[in-house]
Formats: sequence, C-alpha cells, structure tokens
Amino acid sequence: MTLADLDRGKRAIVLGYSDVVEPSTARRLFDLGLAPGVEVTMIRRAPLGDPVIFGVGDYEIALRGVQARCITAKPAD
Amino acid sequence: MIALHAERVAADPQAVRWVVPAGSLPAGRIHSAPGRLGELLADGSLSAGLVESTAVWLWLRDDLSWAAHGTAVQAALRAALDVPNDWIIEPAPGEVLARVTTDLLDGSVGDFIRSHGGSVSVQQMGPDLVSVQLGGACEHCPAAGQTLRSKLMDELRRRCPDLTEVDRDGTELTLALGSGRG
Amino acid sequence: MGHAHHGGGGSTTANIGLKRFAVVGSPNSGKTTLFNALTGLHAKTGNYPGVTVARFEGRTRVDDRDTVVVEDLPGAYSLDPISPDEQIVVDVLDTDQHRADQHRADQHRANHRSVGLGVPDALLVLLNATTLRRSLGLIAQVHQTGLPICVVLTFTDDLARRRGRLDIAALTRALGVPVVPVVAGHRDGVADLRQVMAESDSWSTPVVAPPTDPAEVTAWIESVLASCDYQVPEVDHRTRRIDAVMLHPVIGTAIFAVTMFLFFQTIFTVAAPLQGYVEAGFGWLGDLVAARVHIPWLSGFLSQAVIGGVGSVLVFLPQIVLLFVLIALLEGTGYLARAAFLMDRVMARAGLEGRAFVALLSSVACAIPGIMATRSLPSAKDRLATMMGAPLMTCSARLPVYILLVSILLPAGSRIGPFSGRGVVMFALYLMGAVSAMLVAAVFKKLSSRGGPVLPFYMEMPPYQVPRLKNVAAEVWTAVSAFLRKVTSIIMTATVVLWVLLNLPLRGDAEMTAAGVDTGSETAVAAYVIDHSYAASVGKAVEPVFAPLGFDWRINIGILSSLAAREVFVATLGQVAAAENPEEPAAALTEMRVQDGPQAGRLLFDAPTIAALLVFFMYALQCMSTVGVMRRESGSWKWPAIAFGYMFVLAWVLALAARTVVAALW
Repeated sequence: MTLADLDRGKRAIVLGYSDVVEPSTARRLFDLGLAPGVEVTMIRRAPLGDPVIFGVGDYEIALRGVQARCITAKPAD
Repeated sequence: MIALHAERVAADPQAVRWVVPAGSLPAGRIHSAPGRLGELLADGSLSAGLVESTAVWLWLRDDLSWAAHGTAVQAALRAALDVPNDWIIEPAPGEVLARVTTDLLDGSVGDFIRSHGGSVSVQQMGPDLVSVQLGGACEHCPAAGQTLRSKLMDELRRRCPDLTEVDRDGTELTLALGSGRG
Repeated sequence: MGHAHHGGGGSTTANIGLKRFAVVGSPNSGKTTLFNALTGLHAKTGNYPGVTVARFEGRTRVDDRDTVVVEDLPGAYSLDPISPDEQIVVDVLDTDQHRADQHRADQHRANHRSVGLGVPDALLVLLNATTLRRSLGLIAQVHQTGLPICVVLTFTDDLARRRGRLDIAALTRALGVPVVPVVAGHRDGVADLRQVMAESDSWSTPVVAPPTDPAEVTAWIESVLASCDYQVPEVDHRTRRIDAVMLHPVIGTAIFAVTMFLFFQTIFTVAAPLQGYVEAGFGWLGDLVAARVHIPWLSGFLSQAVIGGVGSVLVFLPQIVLLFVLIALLEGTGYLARAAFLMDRVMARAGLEGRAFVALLSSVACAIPGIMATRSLPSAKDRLATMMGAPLMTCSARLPVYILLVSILLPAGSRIGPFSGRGVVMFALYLMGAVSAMLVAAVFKKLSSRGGPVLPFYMEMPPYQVPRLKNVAAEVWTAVSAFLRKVTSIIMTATVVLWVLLNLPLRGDAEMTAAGVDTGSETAVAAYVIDHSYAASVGKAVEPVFAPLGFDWRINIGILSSLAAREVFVATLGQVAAAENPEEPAAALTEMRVQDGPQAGRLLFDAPTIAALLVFFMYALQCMSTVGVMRRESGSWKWPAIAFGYMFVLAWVLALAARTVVAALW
C-alpha cells in the first residue's frame, strides 16, 4: 500500500520508498519527516483531486499523487 | 536502535554522561561490560564507569580526549547496551547518589541556589549515604532553606526515583537510595 | 513564501574584517523574520554566483562596539543537497576540515571569496520548536562543518499554544551548544541572541559529535527529545477548522474565487475615489504652476515634464499600495499557501506548481515583487520559467496606457451587450495578459526540463496566523518604496529627458517664417519645434520598424521612451498633444493625423492602430526596473536579455496580427 491509497482521516505508518524513486526524491521525503516508522494521517484532498495534505507529526505537508505513490506504508491500526 | 546521546559534565572534561533509556541497566559502579566497551574498561582507556537510572557515566583516561575517541566509545556503548545481562555492576548507591547530586548542583539547581545567595556542598558519607550541606543565605533563613531543599529533592528524585531522606539537621541533609541503610 | 527582502546590489568587499554569521534553517523555520529582526530593513540583496538563488546579507550590532555581518542562507531541509539552494548552503558551509592548519584555512577562505562566497565564522541554526523531531536532523549534519553553532529556537509560542512542551535548559545540555529561544515580534529574544552572538568565541560545543548515519541520527533525536520532556504539540485545531472551510471542495473554491474577484476589483472600484483625489491634487499643482510661473519654458518644463510625467504615474499609487497591502495580508495569514494548494493542479498542467500562481498574482500589482516572489519556488527551473512569464501579467504600469488608448477607442457610454464597452475591453486585456503569462511560463519550463532530475513537489502548509502588522508594513513598504524609486529616478529622468529632446533644438523666427509658420501663434511654434526636434528625428529614424504596425514618429517616441517605464508613454503623448492643443490635449490625440507617407491624412489613433498599440504594450518588456530585478534574481544578464528579446518579437508580431484582424473586422 502507498500513501496515495489512504482515505480521508485514515492513518498509516511509513515503511519506505518504492524502488523506482530517484534517490534525491527519497532523501527529500525523508528530510521532510516522511521517514520509515513515522505515522501519517491523510487530512484532505484538493478540490481538483491533487495535491493531498498529509499530517506528519506536528505539521502538514501537501504532496502530489505521483509523490504519494512513492511512499509505501501500512495501515496504522 | 537504542536511543542515546552524550552530555558534557561541568567541571570534569574527562567525563561524559551518556543518556540512555531508563531502566536499561541497574544502578551502580561498572565492574565490567561486554564487547568493545569491556575491552576499553579493561585496558584502562576508560578509567571508570557508573550507572544511574537514566544514564551511564564514563571517564576517559587523562591523556585521551573525547573529541578523538567519542565516536568509538559511543559505538561500543551502543553494542554493549544490546546485551544488558552481560554487564557486571556493583551496587554503590552512595557513589551514584553523590555523583548525581554533584551534577545537579553544578548545573541548574546549583545556579538557582547560588543566585539566592546560598552555597551548597556535597559529601559522600560511607558507601550508602550522601550529605548535602547548605550554607550562605540558607543558613539564616529557614524559609529559603525549605524552598531550596524541596527544589533539590524534586530534581534529585526525578533522576533517582528511589531517593530517601534519611535525616535533616538544620542545613544539613543526609540522603540515601533505596530503603536507606544506615 | 515571504518576499520581505529587498534592497539594491550586494557586495561583501565592504564587510571584510567583520565577523560573519550565517543563518541556517529549513524553510518555514522563521529565518526571514529573524533575519529581518537582526538586520533591520538594511539588508543587501544580490545573487550567489552563477545561480538563480537570491542572497541576503546584512549587518547588526551585537554589543556596544561590535558590528557583525549576518548572511541569511537559503532554506535547506538537509545538507544532502537536491536543489541549487541547498547546494549553496553546502558550498558556503564547506569549511576545510583542517581548519587547525592556518595556512589551509586562509587558502580556503581565499578560494571561497574568489568565487564570491563568504566564509562564515559562526552559525545560527534555526530550529522550529513545533517540528523539532524533523529539525534536529539538520543540527546533526551542520555539526560536521566544524563551525561554532548557536541554536535559535523559534515558534516556542506556537508550541505552548498547542500544548506542546519543551525543557529548553535540558535541550541546551543535550545538544551541547547555546540555545536561544526567539519569538517573532518580541524583542527580548533577539536582544538575548545578540548578546550570545557577541560571545561566539566561547560557544560550547558538544562533547561528542552527533552521529551522521541516518539510523543513528534518528535514535539520537529520540534520546534528545526524551531528555527534554518534549511534548509534541497537538494538532493545530484552529488551522484544521479553518482549512475545513477554506479548502472545502465547494465552499473553499467559492471563497477563493471571491477573493480573486475582490482582488481585481480593488484595481478599479476601490481605488478609484482615492485616485480622484490624487488627480485633483496634481491638477491643482499644475494650475498653480501655470498661474505663478511666468517664464514660459520653465512653466512648460514644470507642468509637463515634472508634474505631468510624475503625476500621471503617482495617480496609481493608491491602487498599488492597496494591492500590496492585500497581498501582504493574504500572505501573513497563511492563505496564500492555501491558494497555491487550490491552484496546483491547474498550474501543473503548465508544468509549474501552485506557488508559481502566487508569484504571478503578485505581478498584477507590479512585476518586481512578483519576480521576487519566485524565491518561494524550490525548483530553479520553475523560478526561471515563472520569471519569464511574470512581466506579461497586466501590471499597474500598463493601466495608464490601456486607459488612455481605450478611452480614445471607445466613447464613455459605449456598451457591449449589458456591459460597459471599456470594461469589457479592459477585462479582455487582463485575461489575455494572464493567459499569455501562463503559456510563456509553460513553454520555458518545457524547454528547460530536458535533462536533470525533476524536483518532487511538496509544500508545507503553515498554520494560520494573525498577520504581524510589522511584517505586513515592512513588506508593503518594501514594494512601495521600490515603486517610488522607479517613479522618481527612472520615470522622472525619462520625462525630463524627453521634454528636453522634444523642445530642442530651438528654432529662430526667421527659420520658422521661412517654413510658413505663424510665429505669433504659440501653438504653431510649439508644433513646429516638436515636429523638428531631436526626438522627432529619432522617432522618424525608427519608422521602418514600426511602420507596418501603423505607428508614426510620435508614437515611436512614445514607445522608445516607454522602454524605461510604460507610464512614460502617457506622459510623452501628453507632451506632444499639449504642444498641438494646450487647452485640450485629449482632443488633440483623437484628432491627430498621420502627417506624411502613403497613409497621410488618416487618423493616427484609429482602431487598428490602437489595437496594435494595446497588443504591443501587452507583450513588450518596457520596464528597466523589471530588467534590473530579473538580472538580480537570475544572476546574469542572459535571462533579462532573452526576456526582452522574445517579448519584443512577440509584441511586434502579435501587434501586426491584431492590426490586421481589427482592420478587417472593425
């Protein structure tokens, strides 16, 4: 499962990044706090479908679908 | 991976207080440890080691510096903490308590006392007891003494949950860990 | 997303010998606010050599004697660079590891300077107290540079408000470096920081360096946070609730549409009465001059060159100020991030992103803050592409020109359907400007996208805040003072030079009589002087270029002079018209006829010519200030030159097309 599959209000734990991801992208996602083991909440989607706001720890980050699909995760419960 | 970080010890450049998760090891003086850490202790590179409830104190031999050896010691400590049962730690409540108290008094609590015109000294009395002597403004002001005393006790208790006050005589406190054997 | 930095060129040569502090931190850590608080409004801006990354440097006093240099490095999430911004941070912080070797340290310093980088003596690392878990990773990396570090802890007020907790004394012990909490808007923190900066030689360092391996760093961070009793702040409920409305698919979009509508309404409706006052003021001034100054040439100079030129521009000052205030307020509350979020999908179709929309929106007031707003875009390619498109947004400088031409084209009461004719045309002009800006930015982005890794899109959504009035005022003042500087220096110079060129060479009576001019008539004399002035020679010289568009030498002078600033076009035409009909210059314009050549006798400002003019002004880069800002922001003359070139060609071609179409249909 990836973060792109999270429904509104649902939480997931980040597992890692997909193989096709560029190392620089993976590094950036890590630096932003979307690191393995971190719990992420899907907060809302933009009216046109993209991007999506995720709650990570104490702050919120907007990601496009193409990036969210790079982050593998498992449901938090 | 075990969460740990290093803190400086005021007034003792050869010592480092390694903050580790609470309850990793029993408190006391380190006799020996597994792996590389044990080797460092055995060959004298680390001249001494002490465990309090939330930290491991390590002293480097006088001619060595933490700048050069810190990373290696950290790796050794981390590896050794993975096998807590292989450590040999001798209970030494007096020594641990004295060390912790001195540390607190070198830091924020001591600053607090000194800023109120007070002075404080610590002494280990025997293997189990520690005596804390308040002086200066504390000598003549019973209320000040009370405030400072309770502040010290609160901070101490956070670091040593099984702290006991054995005796209080004016400005002198006698403290012990555990049930407080005399 | 802030663009409260401003100022003229940058140079570090004046700062040699002073201690240098570099400010490091992630975007959204409050760097801009801190930098402004430390350096006041006296920061110099410039560029890092060879890249599209803006550079900010300023000075501050740390105690009674010492002034130090403070450099605000670009925001960086980590020292593992994936963008030019972060590469700059890495480059600046790249201290030779053998600093103990003085010779190598000096060598390194010289190398840095030779490429235009300053070597910092100490670092201020900003950590956002509400995102501490993430921010601490940066500290571990920065320690590897070996430079003395002081942590500046920001947003501690937000942390408390959201019921988070942090023992700062414990954090100081755990990190082994000085930690200074600073709350934006409170002076105490900054005063404390200054004192700490004064003692940078004796900053403590961690006894053991933090780990560098990512897994170990995570463990280290856990340990540090545990020892400080760190309580993660609660979700910012206030922001969540507001976003539930502001980003609601239906309500949020509606609010956005209304906000945009109101934004554009201020351009016309709200500012209009204010404009009336300014206009009246200048009219009064003009009358005063006419009444009191009896030396004809001086009177003409003052009323036309000075009052007419500057006045025609300052009339739009209320509207510009209002627009800047609106933008600063929207940004200060955090709403612009939401606007960027809502528009991201649309901008993505053009290969750009939501924050580019914000930069383009700012350009509606003036391209200069709009171009500066591109700093918020993490991708250098996005920055350049947006910069290339921003001048096409209909800025307030085009308004005097549009208004003048549209009023000649259509009479006041004309209507197209139920709407005012003039209103429809103006709306169409704005729309075309916006669409063109997007298209051009898309094209540039496409052209530059070949090769190189694509930066992933991400945007932090900052919590909603009550905008700090001081910051809003600073931003508005920055933008307004840049505009006023443009008015007084560029526009005034241009109109004065123009006045001189239009009124020289002086003609003797004998010459004029021989040419059949009635020397008794002031009007006739003035017309003759202008027709044979230096300006006229220049205007006639470039006729081959503009003749296909239907422009004559008078319009040509207007266009050439407007290369300095668009508003000068109106002042120029005003001067030319006033010479022909001092009483009613407006009428003179509508009645002007082509003087010679194959189209002699035709009304100069007929519909096809006006259409061509409008389109020309829509596309041509006629603003030296914009050129200057582009050079500063992009780091070289190459990009402003490209912008000028492509826009001129586009303007000429499309003006010709407009002329042809209108001539066929009108």
